[in-house]
Amino acid sequence: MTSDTQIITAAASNRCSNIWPAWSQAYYLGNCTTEGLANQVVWVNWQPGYSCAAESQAITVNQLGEQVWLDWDQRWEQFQAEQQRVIAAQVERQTTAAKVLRDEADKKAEALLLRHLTPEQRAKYTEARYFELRTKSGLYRLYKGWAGNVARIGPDGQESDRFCIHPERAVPEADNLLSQKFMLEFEEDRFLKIANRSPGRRVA
Amino acid sequence: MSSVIDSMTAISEEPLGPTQSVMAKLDESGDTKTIWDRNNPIEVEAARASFKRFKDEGYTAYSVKGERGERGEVITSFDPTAERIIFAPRMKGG
Repeated sequence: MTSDTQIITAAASNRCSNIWPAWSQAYYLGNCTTEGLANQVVWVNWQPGYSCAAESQAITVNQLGEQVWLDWDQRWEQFQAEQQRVIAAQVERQTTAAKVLRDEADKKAEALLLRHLTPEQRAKYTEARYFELRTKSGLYRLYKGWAGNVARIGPDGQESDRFCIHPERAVPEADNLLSQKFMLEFEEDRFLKIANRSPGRRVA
Repeated sequence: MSSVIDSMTAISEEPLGPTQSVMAKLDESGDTKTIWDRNNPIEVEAARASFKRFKDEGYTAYSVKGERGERGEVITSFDPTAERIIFAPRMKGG
C-alpha cells in the first residue's frame, strides 16, 4: 500500500488540475502496477473519498467518489452544450455574411447587365426574366439562369434549340447572362462550338 | 504598380470623366472595375498590367462601345483608348 498511499497523497495535496499529471506520473513510474497494487486499487481508493468541485478548490475528502463523476459529467455536458452553441452561432454568422455578400454581388451584376441592355430588352427582362437577342444567324432568348438557359427561336416562334454554356467561375447569374450575350453578339461561332445543344422546348 | 492599380479600382458605378475608361471584370463579387485616365501614362500602364493579368487568368476581353454596349469586339491586346472593356470569365459547355 505504500505506492497507493503515495499516489493519494500526491493527488490530495494538489488541486484538481494537478491530479491527472500526478496520476500519470505515478502510473508511468510503475507505482501502481506493482504486484498487489493493480490500477483498480488506485481507483478503489480514489473513488470513495476524493472529490473536488472546481478547478480552484483543493481536493477534499468529504464527498463520495461517485459525486466526482456526476459533477464531472455535468460539467462535461455543459461544456459540450456551450461548444455546440458557439459553433452554431459561428455558422449562422458566416452564413449571414455570405448571403449579404451574395446579395451585393447579385445587385452589382444585375446593374451591369441592365446597363448593357436596350430599353426593350430591359423591359422584357424586368417583366419576364428573359430578353431576346438577334444575331447574324437568328434570334436567341436568354432566360435568367445558369445552365441550359439560352434558346434559339425558330421562325414559328417556338424554341428550336437549347444551349447549355456557362462560366467556369461561380459568378452571379446576371454575369452569366452578360457573358452569354457578349459571346452571342461578338463571337457567336465560339459560343456554338462550346455550348452543348439540345432540342428546344416546344409549347403545344 | 499594384498600389496604383488599387487606387484606380472602384466599386462605384459610372459616370466616368471625359478622358476616363473602365474595365469591368466579372467575378464572384459581381464585378471589379478598374478605371484609368487615358491621358495619364501611369494609369494607362497600370491598366495595361491589369489587362494582361486578367487575360492570363483566362478571361475574354470585349471592347464595347455605345450607350448600351451595342457595338463591340473581342480584343486580345490592351487598347488604352477603349471606352469600356468587359472581361468575361472562361466559358464551358454545361
